[in-house]
Amino acid sequence: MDVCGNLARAHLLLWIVPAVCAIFTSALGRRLSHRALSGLSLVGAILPVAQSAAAAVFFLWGPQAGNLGRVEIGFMTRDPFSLVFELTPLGTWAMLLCSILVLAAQIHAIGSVARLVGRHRYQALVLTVGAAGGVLFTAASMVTLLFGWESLALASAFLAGFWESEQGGGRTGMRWLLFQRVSGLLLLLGLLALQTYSTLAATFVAAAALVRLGQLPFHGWIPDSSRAPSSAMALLHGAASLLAGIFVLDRIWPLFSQVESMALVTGIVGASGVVFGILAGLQQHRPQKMLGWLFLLTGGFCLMGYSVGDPVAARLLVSGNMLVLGGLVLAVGTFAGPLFETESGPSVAKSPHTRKAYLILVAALALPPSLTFVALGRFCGSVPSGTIGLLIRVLVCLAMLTCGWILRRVYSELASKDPDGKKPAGRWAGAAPGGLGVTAFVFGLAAFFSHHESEYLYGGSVGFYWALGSAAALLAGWLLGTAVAVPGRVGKRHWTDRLTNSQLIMDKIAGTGLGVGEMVARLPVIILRALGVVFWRGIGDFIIDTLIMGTTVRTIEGIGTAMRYIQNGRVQRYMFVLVLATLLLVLAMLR
Amino acid sequence: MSLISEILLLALPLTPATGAIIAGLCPRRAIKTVRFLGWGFSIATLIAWIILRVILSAADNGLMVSLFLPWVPSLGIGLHFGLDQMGLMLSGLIASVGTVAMIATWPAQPDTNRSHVVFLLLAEAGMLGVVTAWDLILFIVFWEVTLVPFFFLMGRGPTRGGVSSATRFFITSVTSSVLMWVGVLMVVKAAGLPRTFDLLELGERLGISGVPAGMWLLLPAFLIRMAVVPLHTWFPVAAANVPAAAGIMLAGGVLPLGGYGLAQVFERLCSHTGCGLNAWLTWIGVVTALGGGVASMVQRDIKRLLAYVCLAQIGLALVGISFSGRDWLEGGSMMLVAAGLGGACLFLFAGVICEARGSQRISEISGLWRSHPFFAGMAFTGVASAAAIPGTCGFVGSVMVLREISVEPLLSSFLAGAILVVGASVVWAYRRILGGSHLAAVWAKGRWPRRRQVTILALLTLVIVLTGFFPGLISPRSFKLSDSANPDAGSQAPRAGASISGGE
Repeated sequence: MDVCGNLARAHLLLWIVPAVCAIFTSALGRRLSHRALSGLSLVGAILPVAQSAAAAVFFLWGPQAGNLGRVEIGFMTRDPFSLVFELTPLGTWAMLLCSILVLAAQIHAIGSVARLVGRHRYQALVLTVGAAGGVLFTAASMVTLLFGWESLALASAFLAGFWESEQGGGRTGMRWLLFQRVSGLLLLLGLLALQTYSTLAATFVAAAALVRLGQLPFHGWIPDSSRAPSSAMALLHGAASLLAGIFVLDRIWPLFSQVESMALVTGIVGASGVVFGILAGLQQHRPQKMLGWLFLLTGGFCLMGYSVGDPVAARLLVSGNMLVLGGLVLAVGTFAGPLFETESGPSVAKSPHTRKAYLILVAALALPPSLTFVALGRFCGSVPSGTIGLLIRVLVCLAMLTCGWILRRVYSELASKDPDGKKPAGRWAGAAPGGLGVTAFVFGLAAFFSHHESEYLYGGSVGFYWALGSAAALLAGWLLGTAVAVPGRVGKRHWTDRLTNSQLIMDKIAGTGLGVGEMVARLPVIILRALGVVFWRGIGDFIIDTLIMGTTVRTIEGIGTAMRYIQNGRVQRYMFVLVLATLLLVLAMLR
Repeated sequence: MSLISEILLLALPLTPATGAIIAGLCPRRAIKTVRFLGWGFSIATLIAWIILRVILSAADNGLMVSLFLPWVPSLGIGLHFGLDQMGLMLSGLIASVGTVAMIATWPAQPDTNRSHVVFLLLAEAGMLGVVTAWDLILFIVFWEVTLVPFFFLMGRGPTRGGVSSATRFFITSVTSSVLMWVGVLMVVKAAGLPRTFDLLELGERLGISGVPAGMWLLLPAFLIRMAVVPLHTWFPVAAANVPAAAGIMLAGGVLPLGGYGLAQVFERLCSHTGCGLNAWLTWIGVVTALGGGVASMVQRDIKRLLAYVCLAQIGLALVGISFSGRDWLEGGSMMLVAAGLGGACLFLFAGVICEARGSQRISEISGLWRSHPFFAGMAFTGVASAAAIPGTCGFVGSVMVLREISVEPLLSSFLAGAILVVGASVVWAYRRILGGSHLAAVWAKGRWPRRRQVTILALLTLVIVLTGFFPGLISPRSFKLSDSANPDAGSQAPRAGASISGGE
C-alpha cells in the first residue's frame, strides 16, 4: 500500500511520462525501427495505466481518503496563472479510464499504422492525448484545468487528421476544434464568474460540458467523426469528449446542484440526446457512424444521471460505455480501414480475432457482471418513481434494444466474407478491443466487491431488475437484427432500412437532426462572414476609404486645382477673386 | 546598480541608433559586414533589455529606472528617460521584434541591403525611444523618427501597392503627428507655469486643474497608430503590400506602440479617467475586436487576414487599457505584448511562405504540412496565441482583460465572442495552409526556409510559450488582486484553484 501511495503522490508523472515519450517518439521516429518505436510509445502508454491503477487501489483500500500531493509551480508565475496539480479520487478514476483507452488506442495504432509514413507522429499524438488527459484530471487551478481542457481538444483534433485533406479526418479535426473553442471559452467565462455570479458560472460551465459532450444542438461534429482513424475516433469520443465533459460536470457538481433549473435543462437535453442517438444510429449505413451516435446516446444518459441527482450513476455509465464503445470502434476500425475509412472499402481483411473481441464487447455492454450492467442498474435505481421514472426506464430498455439491433447489423458486416481475399488482420486486431471488453468485466467485478451492498450499487432491487431487463432488451435487439439482417448489406439499401425509417422524415432527422447540427455549425459562420463582408467592404472600403477619405482627398485636390487655375498669371482672375473676397468681407462686417 | 541600469536604459534607444549610423557609413558592397552589424546591434539591444529586466525588481507604480538631463531648461524641456512596468514590457517586445525582423528577413534586391539594415535599426531605435521617453518633446521626436524608416521599408513590398501603402501610412502618420504637436502644446499651456513637458509633472498638475481641450487632439494620434475602428483602414492594406520585415515591425511594434502611447500619455494626463472617454474607448475596442474577427473570416489573402487578426487583438488590448482605469494597466499591457509577439510570429511565417510560393492567396499555398512539417508546426504557437489557447501569451492577455471586465457580463460576452471568431478564423486559415492539396513541385523550389528563419521562429515560439506559462518573465511585478482600482473587482475575481480544487 505504501508503494501505491508513493506512486499516487508522484502524480506529475501521469502526464510527464507520456509527454516525454511523445517528444522522443516524434523526434526519433524516423530513425527508429518499427519495433523500437512501438516499444517507446507503449512505455508511454503503459506507465500511466500502472500508476493510476496503483493510485486507485490506494484510494479504494488505503488509509487516506483525501486529496494527494498538491504541487504548485510558482516560478515566475502570476497569481491567477499558477499551475497547481493535485490527485483526487475523481481525477484518479478519470485518469485510469483515459490511460486505459490511450493504451488500447496505441496498441491498435501500432498494428494499423505500421505502413504509414508519418506513423511516429501519429503515435506521438496518441501519447499527447494521454498527457493532456493527465493535466486535465490532476488540475487544481483555473489555468491548469483550462490548459488540460484545451490541450486535450487540440491533441484530439490533430490526431483526427487536422492537416489532412477533406477526404480524411481534416474536416473532423477542424469541426471538432471549432466546437471545442466554443466550449473552452464558455469554460473560461464560467471559471472567471465562479465567485461573482454562481448561477451564471454554473450555466457557462454546464454549457461548456454540453458542447464538449456533443449534445444537441452541438452535435455537428459527430457525423464527420467517422472519417477519422478508428483509434483517433475512439479517443475523440471516449476520452476527449465523454470523459472530459463528465469530469468537468462532476467538478462543479456542488455548484451545479444548487441551481434549480439546471437539473431540468440537463434532463431534457440528455433525453433528447438519447432519443436522437437512437434515431440517428438506426438510420446510418456505415458502421463507424452508427457507433458515433451511440456515444451521443451515452452522453445523454449521463446527463440524465445528473438530472436525477446521482452523479455516481453518470460516472459508472461513462466508465462502462467508454470502454465498451471505444473497444467497438477499434474492433470495427480493423476492417473499416487501417487508417481512414474509405469509400473504396476495407484495406485490411476481416479477422476471427476481431470477431471474438467484438462479441466480448457486445456482451460487456449489458450482461452481468460488466461495469455497464452495474451502471444501468444504478441509473435505473436512482430514477424517481412515477410516470416520468417509468418512461426513463423504458427509454433505457428501448436504447438497449436499438443498440442490440445496430450492433448486430455491424456484426453482419464483420462476419461476412471478404471478397478481395486480403490477408486477415493479425492478433493485434483483436487485442485492444478485446482487452477493453475484459476490462469492463473486471471493473464490474471490482465495483461489486468494493460495494457489495445492492442498496448502494443498484439503488435497491429495482435497479438490478431493470438492468436485467435492459440486458434482455439488448439480446432481443440482437435477435431481431439476426432475423432481419442479411450479411453484406450494411452499406446498401435493404428492406430492413424501410422498417426503421419513413424515408423522407428520417433522412432529415437522422442526417444532422432536422438540420439543427448543421445549422448550429454553419449558420453562425454564414452570419459572421456576412458581417465580415459588411465590415470590410461596406464600412472599411466604402464608407471610410471611399466616402470619407476619398471625399476629403478630392476636396483638397479641388481646392488645389482651383488655386492653380487662379494662380496661372492672368490679372483678371486675381481681380475677380479680390472683388469676391471684398464683397464677402463687407457682407460679413454688415452682419 | 543604479548607474548600470541607467546606462542600460540609455543603451536601449542608442544601441540601434549607433548601429544604424555605423551601418550607414559602411560601403554599399560590404553586404556581409552590414548584415552582421545589423544582427550584432539588434542582438546587443535585446541583451541590454534582458540584463535590465534581471536588474530591475518589482516596484510600485512609479519609474523603476529614470535618468534626467537638462536640454532646454528655459522652455521646460529635458532629456527625461525612464521605464516603468509597462515600458519595460513594451521595450522587451520591441527589442525582440526588432531582432526577429533583422535576422529573419533580407531584401530581395541586393542593392537595398544596407538601407534595409539602417532603416530597421532606425525604426527600432525610434520605437525604443518612444517607450523610454518621459518628456513629451522627446516623445514626439522619437515618434516622428519611427515614421521615416517605415516609409522607406514599406515601399519595397512584393506587390505594386507597396508604395501607395507607404504613402498612405505616411500621410495618416503625419496627420496624427500634427494633431499630437498641437495637442501637446495646448496641454502644456493648460498646465500653467512654470512651463514643463515632463510627463509625470504634467500628469500631477492636470489631475488637479482639470481636462484640457488638447486631449481631444492627442487621442486620435494614438488611435490611428493603433489602427482601431474607424481609423483602421491603413493597416490591412499596408500589411498586405509591404515586405516581411515591415509587416513584422508593424504588427509587432507599431500597433502596440500606439497602445502604449494611449496608456502612458493620454491616460496618465487624464489621471487614468480617460477624460471621461474610457467608456467610449472600451466600446471602440470591442467593435475593433469583433470587426477584426469577422473581417478576417472573409479574407483570401493570408497577410490581410493576419492584419485583421492583429487588429482584433489590439481591440482587446484597448478594452484592457481603457476599462481598468488602474494606475498600472496589466491586462492591456499583457495583451499588447501578446498581440505583438503573436503578430510578429505570424507575419514572419506568412512572409517566408509567401516569398517562397510567390503568392499570398491562401488557396495557392496549401499542403505545407507534408513539405515542411516542423516549420509549419512551429507557427502554430502564433495561431494558438491569437486564438487564446492556454499555454500562450495570448491566453494570458485575454484572461487578464476578460477578468478585468468580468463585472460587465455583456462586454465579457462580446469579447469572448471576438476571441472565438478570431481563433476560428486564424485556425481555419492555418488548417487550409497546412492541409489541402500538396503541391510538391511548387514547395520544392529554392532553399527555404533558411536556417536562421527556422531558428528565429523557434525562439519566438519559445518566448510565446514561456510567457504563456510564466508571465512574470517579462514583467517583474507581483500582481495582487487588491491593486484593482475598483476595490470590489478584486474580491469578486476568482481565487485560482479555490473553487475547483475540491475533489471528493
